[in-house]
This record gives sequence, C-alpha cells and structure tokens, in this order.
Amino acid sequence: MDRIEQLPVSDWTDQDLLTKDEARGRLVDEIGRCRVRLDELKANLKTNEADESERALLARRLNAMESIVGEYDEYLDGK
Amino acid sequence: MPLQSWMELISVDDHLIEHPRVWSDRLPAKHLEAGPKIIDWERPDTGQMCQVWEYEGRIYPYIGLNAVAGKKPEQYGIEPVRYDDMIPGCYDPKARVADMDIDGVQAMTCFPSFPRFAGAVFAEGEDKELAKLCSAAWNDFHLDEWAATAPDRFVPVAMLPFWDLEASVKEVHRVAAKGAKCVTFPDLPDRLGLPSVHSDHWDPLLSAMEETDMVLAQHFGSGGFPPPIAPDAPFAVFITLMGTMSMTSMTDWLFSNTLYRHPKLKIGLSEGGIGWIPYILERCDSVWRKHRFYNNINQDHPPSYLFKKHIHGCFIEDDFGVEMRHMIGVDKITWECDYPHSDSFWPQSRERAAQALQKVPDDEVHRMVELNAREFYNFPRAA
Repeated sequence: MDRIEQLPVSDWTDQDLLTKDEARGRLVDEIGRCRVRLDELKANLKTNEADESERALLARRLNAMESIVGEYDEYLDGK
Repeated sequence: MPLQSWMELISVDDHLIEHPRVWSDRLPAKHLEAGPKIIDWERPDTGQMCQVWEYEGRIYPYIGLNAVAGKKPEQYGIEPVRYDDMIPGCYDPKARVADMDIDGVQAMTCFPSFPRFAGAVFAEGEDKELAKLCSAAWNDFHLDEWAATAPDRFVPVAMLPFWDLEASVKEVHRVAAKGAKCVTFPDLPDRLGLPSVHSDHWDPLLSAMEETDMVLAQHFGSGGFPPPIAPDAPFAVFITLMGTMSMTSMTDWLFSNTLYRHPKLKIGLSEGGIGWIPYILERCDSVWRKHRFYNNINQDHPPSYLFKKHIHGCFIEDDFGVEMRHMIGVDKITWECDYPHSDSFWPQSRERAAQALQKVPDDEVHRMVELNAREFYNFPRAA
C-alpha cells in the first residue's frame, strides 16, 4: 500500500492534552491547598456530618495526588 | 456551600486516547496489516520522531498525541508526540480513575480520539468491512476494557458504522446489550456526505435508540465541519466558535419533523456550552411564528417544545448559562470536565464547579452536576 499523508484535520485540532509538566505543577499546588484545608478541618472540634464528608473526600484526594506526583518527577528528571 | 460533598460530579464530556493495542488485540489476523496501528514516524518538517496511527496506509499525525512534556500553556500546539509523554490517565483507565479521585469527579463519559469524536475516520476507510470491524472493536475496547475497569466511574460510550444504516441498527442493539449508555453520532451528518437529520433516512436508527433508551450524543466537531472562519484568522477564533456547531445541529433538529416521529429520543449536545441556548430558542420560536406557514415544519408546536422534550446541553465554564438556567431549564443542563484536554480544570474541577455554582440553590446544583446525567444516561448510583 502506498503511504498517504493525511490532511491535518481532526475533530478538534486544539486537543492539547495535559502535559506531565503541567500536571505535576497543578498537583503540587493542589496538594498544598488540600493539606491546609485538612488541617483546618482537624482543628475544628465542632465537626458536623458535612465536615466529616469533606474530610473523607479530601483525604482520598490527598492520598491519590501524593501517590502519582512522584511518577511525574521521575519522568521530568529523565528528560 | 451549594455544591455539597455528598453530591457526585458526573461529567458527560471527556476523552480517552486509545492505547496502541486497541485494534491489534481485536481485529482478525487478515486485517492486522491494514487496521489501525501505532508506528514510529519521522515528521517531515522537523525530523522529530513521533508515534502516530497508521490505518490503510494513511498516516494520522494529529491524533491527540499532542501532550509534550514541558510545554507551557502559551506554547500549546498540535505537535504529535509519544505515549510516554502523556499523563497515563489519557490511555490507562486505572490511572484515569485515580485522576478522577484527585479531581473530585465520580464518573466520566469518554469519547474517542483517533477515530474522531464519532468514529468518522472509519467512514473514510476504503475497506468498508474492515471499517465496520474497527468501529465494533472500539466499542468492545470501551465496554469490555475501559468502562469495565470501574463500572461506577465510566458512562459507557459506543460509536456506530453510521455509513451503513442496517449495520448501525444492529450495533445499537449489540452495544446496548453490552451496557452502553450513549452512542456518539456526528453533529452534522450531511457534512460527511450523509443524509441530514431532516430526512427520514435515520428513522430505523433513531427508533433503535428509543428502544434501547440510550442518549444520542453529538459532540461538536464530530461531523467534521469546522466553524467557517477567515483563513488568516487566529486559531482563537476557531476555538471560540466551535460551540456554534452545537447551535447549528440543535437548530436542525428543532426545525425537522424527525423528532415528532421519535418522541422518546434523547439528544445530548456534548461540549457545546449552554449560554447560547436561550437566545437560539427565542430566535427559533420567533422564526416559527412568522415563517412556519410556507415551510415544511410542524405547524402546531414551536421549536422550543422539541428542545424541552429531547435535548440537553452541558457546560464546563459558562457563567452566563448558569445564570440563565431557568430559561434553559435546570433539568436540561449537565456538567462536564473535558479531561484530559488542557481546557479542563483538573485537579480543581470540583472546586471550580463549586465556585461557578456558588449562588445556585442546592437542589438545582444537584440536578445539574449529578441527577440529570444519571437520569438521561440511565446511570444510577452504585448500590
């Protein structure tokens, strides 16, 4: 088969995906914000059900963010 | 705070990047050579080595592989790169779920990338049998591999071999039985050389969609027709006007007689925004009042009647649309986060949604971010 170069037409050529570099930067910022908010919730002795729910959500997020930010560090170090 | 922590964010517009084995794992051996596969390719203008899709000998350089590590927002472009340069959440469903947890998003609706948003790449295939197999293979990948990774986190999507109506009807029933909740369909089929939605051509397909109660999702741009802009206009003009493609496709539906033959059809306008909806509904109804008498359009009901019955939109950043929600209908609005495109607010989608909805009553927020999507897409909370 002869190879034909396709015209550069896609459904949306501005499909810029999040880069690892940008993703890492966003994660570092968000980890910082998340820790501050968790500390605020922990310091508040009068927690209600909504606070508990928010705390659980934040803890889940923090854990997930910390678990992948290192992967991006390794990639960027190798570039 | 109107967006409560117990409300689950359901996004109706997101994207996945197909991993390199989607088709090679599924196509019969005789089709492996011509079927889609990732190859290393030297870009002629820069000499950069890239990974690109090759299908029937055609190279598809701009396939969503444009995540270049180190790029700043001001350097966004369309350069293809390699899988290693992408964040894994683009192509790995487990990594995607982790990114969704970070983003505070419960579920996503992931459209195709290389096949284009409604599978139009396969409509261009020379071997139509192979094209149908490719379309079905994407569905099997999405339903059996991607969505099956976390059934409560992905709203299952399917595409159709829409150039073959009979095969499309069969595929609708096949994917519905496998758990699909929506079917992606070109927003402007006539621009792909197919009959428009004004014709009765699509009736068997639309009847199948009604029978299976799936959403017909029309992602803007999936009909392959870009907004008409000046050739030397900045790309910003193009990006700004993409949502107007949804305006065009919706207006087609509202003045067609088709929806009167398919009273249960559900149409989702994906990534098109919502702020324009009140304007176009007002305009459609005004035109209907003045001009219906000499047009072959329904004489009994204004176009807005059909909107209320059939169509829902979605927003990611649309303050005007949120403000106008009662004119649109709170029950016609869904939310999207557009991961993994750089337009998304990841990892702050939840926080940004909370800010955008700060002045909206709790019950309306819940409708827009979760309940409407769960109802339209038959996607209840896991027990």
